[in-house]
Amino acid sequence: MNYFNYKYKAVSTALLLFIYCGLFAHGDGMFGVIDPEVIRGPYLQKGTESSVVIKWRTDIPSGSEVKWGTSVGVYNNVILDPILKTDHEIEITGLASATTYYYEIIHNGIVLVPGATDLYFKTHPAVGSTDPIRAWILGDPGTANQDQRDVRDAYYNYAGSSHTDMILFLGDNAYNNGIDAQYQNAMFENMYEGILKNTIAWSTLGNHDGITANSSTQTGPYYDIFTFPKAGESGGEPSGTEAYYSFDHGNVHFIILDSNESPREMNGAMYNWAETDIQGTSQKWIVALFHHPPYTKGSHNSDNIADSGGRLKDMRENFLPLLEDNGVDLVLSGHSHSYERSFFINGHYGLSTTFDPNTNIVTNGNGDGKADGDGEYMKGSCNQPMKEGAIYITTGSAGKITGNGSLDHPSMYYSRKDLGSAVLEVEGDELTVKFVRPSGAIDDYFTILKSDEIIGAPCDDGFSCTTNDVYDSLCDCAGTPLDSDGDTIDDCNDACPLDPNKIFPGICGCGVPETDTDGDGFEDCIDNCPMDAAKTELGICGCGVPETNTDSDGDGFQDCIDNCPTDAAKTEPGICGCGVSEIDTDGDGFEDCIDNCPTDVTKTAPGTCGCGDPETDTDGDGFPDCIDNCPTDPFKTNPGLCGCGVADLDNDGICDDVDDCVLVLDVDQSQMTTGLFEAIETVTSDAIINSGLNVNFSAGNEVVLRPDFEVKGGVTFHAFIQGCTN
Amino acid sequence: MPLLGMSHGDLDERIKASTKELELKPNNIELLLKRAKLFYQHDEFMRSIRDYEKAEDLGGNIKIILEGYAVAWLKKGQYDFALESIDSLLVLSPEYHKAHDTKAEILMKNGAYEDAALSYRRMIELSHEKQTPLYHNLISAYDSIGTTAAHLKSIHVIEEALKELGTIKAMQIKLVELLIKTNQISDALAIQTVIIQTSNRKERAYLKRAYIHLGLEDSESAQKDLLSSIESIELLPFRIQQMKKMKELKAEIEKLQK
Repeated sequence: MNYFNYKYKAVSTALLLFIYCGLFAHGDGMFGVIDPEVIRGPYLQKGTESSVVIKWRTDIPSGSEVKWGTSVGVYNNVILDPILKTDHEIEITGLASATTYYYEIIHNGIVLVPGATDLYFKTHPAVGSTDPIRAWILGDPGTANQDQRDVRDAYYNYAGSSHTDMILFLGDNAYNNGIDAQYQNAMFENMYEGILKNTIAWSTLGNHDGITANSSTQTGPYYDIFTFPKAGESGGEPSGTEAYYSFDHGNVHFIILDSNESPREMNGAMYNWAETDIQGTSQKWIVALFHHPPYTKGSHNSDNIADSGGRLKDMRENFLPLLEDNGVDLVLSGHSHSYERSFFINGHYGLSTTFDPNTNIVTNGNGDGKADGDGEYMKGSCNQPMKEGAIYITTGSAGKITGNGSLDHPSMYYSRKDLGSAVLEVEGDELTVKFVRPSGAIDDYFTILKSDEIIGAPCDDGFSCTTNDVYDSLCDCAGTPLDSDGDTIDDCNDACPLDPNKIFPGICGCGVPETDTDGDGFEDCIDNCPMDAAKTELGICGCGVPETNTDSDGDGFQDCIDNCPTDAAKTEPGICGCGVSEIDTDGDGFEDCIDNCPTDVTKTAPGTCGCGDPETDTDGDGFPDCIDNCPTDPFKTNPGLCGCGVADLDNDGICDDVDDCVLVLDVDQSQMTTGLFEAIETVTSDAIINSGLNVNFSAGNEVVLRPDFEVKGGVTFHAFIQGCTN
Repeated sequence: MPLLGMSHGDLDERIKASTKELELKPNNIELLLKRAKLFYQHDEFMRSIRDYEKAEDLGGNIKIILEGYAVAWLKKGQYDFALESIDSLLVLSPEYHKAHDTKAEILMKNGAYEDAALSYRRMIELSHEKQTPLYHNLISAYDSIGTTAAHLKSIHVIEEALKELGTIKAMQIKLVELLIKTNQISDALAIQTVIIQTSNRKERAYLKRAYIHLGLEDSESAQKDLLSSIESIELLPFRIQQMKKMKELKAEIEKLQK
């Protein structure tokens, strides 16, 4: 088939449409012919990071044209297959990964399915991406009845407006024979059309689909309706058939096996492909799908080796070892019309009677797997010795519940004959599956946690002497030894990790050197006399002094600590020296030994006056009173001619108190009166001469009037340089 | 005999329902054919054959009846009867793909591998869309013959398949096996090298080539490939390295290195 895939260009598209209309169109307006009507789809198939397949059916043959773009109503790209047909299949390539594109279906210029917010496709995220993934899992849904719709509506309510990345059909998609009309009712009409137009659907072949499908020729409604990658287009190894295939979505690798028609023996075509495929992926999560469940006690019995032609047994015995040995995490099946979910198990390939919980349930796998219950199942963890394990789910009740099976397979944690569908949600290291009942109740759920690259992941080895603790290639947690003190001995082998000079505490302990300064065999740290080789303790005498035990003066203090060893009254010389008492008789603070007046509290030396007589100098003339005969006259020490207190300044033999002409006269305010004030040399005054007075100053050399001197009005004042007048 | 007490889906109920209908309409060909198919699905092959016989007596569609006989006799292990029925059907519908498939299966079970190969070849010819299993079945028939000539035919089939289907690694691996069996070692090495180059994970492909080198007593090249194999393992995520199969593989390589 030749498709014309090109970027929309107005001119070329118009030209092409013109040619196309002329050749094939039978639009109502142009030729009066009925426009085609889309009676199935559109629905999405074979998603990849860069492409998607869109399929739809028209009631009459028409061309196949899709326009698309990244916004609703803006469809800048177009692809056209002009060949007239009713079942249309267009593959759009060259897309960006993890991108939402809106589209519409066209025929001959007439929009058959107009663009809308819910008419879109989303390309796969890059392989290995940890983008969240949600898959809706539908096992045996194809009854086309209200039960199927109730299950559908419950999921729609669960999902709300969130995008569903894929639908995983587990087979028996259309009862009873998988004919096209049954598919129409069980899938495309009044059933899943709302979600199929924006969610990529994948499927595995069920036995009822297989009635009208032929896997070896890839014919029949099932193969007509679905388009799967057989050349590895969506990731994984090319299978060369659509009966079994694989694809990647984000960090999940999906392996779809055909348990119904394809050879199930070991080394058969499907087995060999599956082996190369699973051994070729390094995706974090591996999910396998096939219709016939390896473990069930529902409407089918996996213990019946002939059940369904031995398909259950074949898948269990031949494929489970291959899948488990190569890391499968989740196996989804249908066929039994019930919901059965296993513990976290590994290595059970026989009848249920051979199931041994001790060996077949992996470590940490016997709980409910619920984060809010017994805890999630752990896989690939260093705390999980087997590092293997998978969950098996038989979920074949998306359209009906039948049978009277005992629902007691010992591998199963939860078994119920209830309508419902499962939801797979993967986000990075977490894989969660929920079983959603028509009521909306989530009756079962579990989570598997898978640690990523363990090597190099942080951990705690329990030793404080290491840093950067990480898991090593043996899954041991080990750190890099620290050398905190830089002494080249790592902390794990250094008992003194903070002392660069020691690796053992020794006698002194970390941080203290083991030095023995005095060489007495005792390290300084324990030698209280580190400089005295003869002593390690201070003793009474102290370091450096031998303990002689002599007390010469018998005062109770050994001579080594008695600085007056011969003075029984003293151990220190004090002020007075050994042998001399420190008595201070007069209590003046000076011991008698240094007090020359030991009984005179006011004196420590006799001075001029002698002990007991104070050195008082009342007139401050430098002569103490004891030798000053004029103790109150600062100018005299003897009464002389004039007596104490009277001078003869002009030395004229006339005492000043009777001598009107003195050598120097200082006239003060108290003296100021009317009269003559005379001096041989100098008259000085700072007085104020009040009114009414008559004052005269007379001096031989000078009359000094100081700044405060003042003469008031009405005063007669004269100053003369003439000396005394009498 | 029906497997009483053993769950078999809703087949029991459907057989009971058909039987009730047939009690009311015992000569209804459509009901007989329907129940014959249900008996077959329920592993009650003789009951299935009896319903087909009755339908034949009543003039039922002989093509459906012959196919029913063939698959039921095949399950019963009565290969001559099965072959007779399917050959009769192929006379009527020589291009009926599924009949050739059934005939090939009968012949394989009966050890007539050459004839089975012819039927498988015919299936390929009739298929508009070639599929891996078609070629695989033909190769299996030649494998069962086991002669060098058969191996050479298998090689031819694989080359044809690879040309038709593109790179199918399982086919390439089989081709290498057959080239070694037929002593075409240099070709085997060349194909194995292609496998290495095109593999996402190369650890097993290197090991396989090491074995080929060892077969040629070229231990130096073998050691190089063993080392590459180990290196490929060590490049894998730790969780994969820890898998049982990977540990076994590594042990095998290390043993060879010694």
